[in-house]
Amino acid sequence: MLIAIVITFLVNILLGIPLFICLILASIVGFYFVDFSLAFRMIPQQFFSGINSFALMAIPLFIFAGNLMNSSGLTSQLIKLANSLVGHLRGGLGYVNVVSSVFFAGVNGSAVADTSALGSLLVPAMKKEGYSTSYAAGLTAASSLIGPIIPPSIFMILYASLTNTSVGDLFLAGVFPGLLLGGAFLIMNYIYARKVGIQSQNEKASLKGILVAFWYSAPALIAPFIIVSSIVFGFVTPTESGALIVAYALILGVLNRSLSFSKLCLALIDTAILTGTIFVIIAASSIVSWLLAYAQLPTELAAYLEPYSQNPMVVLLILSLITFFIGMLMEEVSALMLLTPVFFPVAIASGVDPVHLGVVITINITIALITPPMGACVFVAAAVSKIEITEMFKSIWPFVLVAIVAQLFVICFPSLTLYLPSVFN
Amino acid sequence: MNLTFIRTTLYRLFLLTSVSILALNVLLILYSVFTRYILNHSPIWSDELSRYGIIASVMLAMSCAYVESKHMKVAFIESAVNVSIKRLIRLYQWFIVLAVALFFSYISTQYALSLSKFSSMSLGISKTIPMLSVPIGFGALFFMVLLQGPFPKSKQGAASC
Repeated sequence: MLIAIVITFLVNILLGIPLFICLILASIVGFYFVDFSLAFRMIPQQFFSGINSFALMAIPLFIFAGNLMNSSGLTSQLIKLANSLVGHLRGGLGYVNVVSSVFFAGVNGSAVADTSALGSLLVPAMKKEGYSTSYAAGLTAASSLIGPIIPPSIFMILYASLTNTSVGDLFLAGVFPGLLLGGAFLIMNYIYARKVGIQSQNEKASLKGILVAFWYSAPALIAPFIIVSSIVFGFVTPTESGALIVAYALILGVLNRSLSFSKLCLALIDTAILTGTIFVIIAASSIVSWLLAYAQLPTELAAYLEPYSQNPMVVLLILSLITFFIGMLMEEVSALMLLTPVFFPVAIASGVDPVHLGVVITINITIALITPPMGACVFVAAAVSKIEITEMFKSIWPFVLVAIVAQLFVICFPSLTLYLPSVFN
Repeated sequence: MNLTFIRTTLYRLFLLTSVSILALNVLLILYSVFTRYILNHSPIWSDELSRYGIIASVMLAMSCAYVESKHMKVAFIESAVNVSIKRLIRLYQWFIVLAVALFFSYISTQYALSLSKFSSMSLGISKTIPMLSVPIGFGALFFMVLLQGPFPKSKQGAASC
């Protein structure tokens, strides 16, 4: 059954069928091998119940809030702030790229949106500063990986809804790994700038300049703190936090007079369409997840990993390796939806902390955004930088390697993820 | 009245309905936050209504996203082959999406009708009502794909709205 599901999925995805249709087709084939009469009841039931969750309502709200802040021009203020802080250093625009991604992460949470927004602004400027196009595009795509790791994170909300893990704990746990990844890319940029001999074209900003940039970007910088603190201190649920941040973005846009009715409508349309594409994948993945559980795949995997079950780190490494390769071939949301129910019982039985596992899976899935052949951020970066995708695929590997090293740190030092949740709990 | 007019009208209708439900849903969640934390009394039906609302919004947006080519897919083979094979692949894609949409619409209608005797916990409505958003969504997808045809000349962009 599993082979039939995989072949059906792969053949159709390669032929350009939309992912959610491929998942439905694969599940229909899977039911043929199990009991086809079940399909008429289980397929619609699992599809509906897969998205019938109040926790998932947070996803459109965070997307909408991010769209509103982009429409209001708040996010462009973040780039100005990053520029005033690090733009004057040697290889300054590379640092600006990474630091802006860290700031963006707290507002947007979408790596693809981050790549698109930063790439169109920073890649041309980086080329003028002496960076190669492939490096500038690669750094833009890679640094955007910080987005889904630092809260708010759509992947973490999904993981939490699948495993009943606290979203607040996951959000807190993502902070240090996100900063670690950002730090790793800053070091990489430092080495590159030294090696190539890039000089900064920006003058050092005065203290007044930094304070002015900080003042204008403060509303966007406060957003992640509102989200995390309201959830962690138990004031609101993640979904309600999403609603609050939408209200916050709306009020800011109105007060700044930067949010017109047409911009509001466009933000709503973008949110509706993006939510539609994400939720149908979640719904369709739920059917395949049910089939995999029905076929007792988690039990088989647990039996296979039995010799290593005494060492949680080895189990995490093996699961990360599997996620990495599957993430290369699958879209991220569906990979998360399919792998989490299979991996979770295995990892928990081995003594892995569910919050730590959530962060590790999120980083693995996120790294897949820049790995060939399906890394969405690479495609976006290539498009906005106007370079061939094959050239991008060649130049992206050093960034993938840096991300993997950061991921190994996260796996080997669970306190990186678990420290903040333990402090606040 | 030509096919393009019908397609554009349907597209606008689905998108407008989806966006309206989404906007109302945001207001509903804000209202429930307000009532819970300011008035200390949250309506018990708001969670359920917002869940059903977002499902309805998503199901209608699904067909609009298809017309906009926004659904996630891989186009490696399509971009690497010659025109005649590309046309064959497009025909296959069109046929498969149509078939799946029709099949899903049929089985989810059957399933929704089978739930008519069950009521939802908070709203107290028949479970058939929220479940019907799935066959309606796939029905909408079916008609949009059918009207678009296997070889669409251009995307039905949001600009047309």
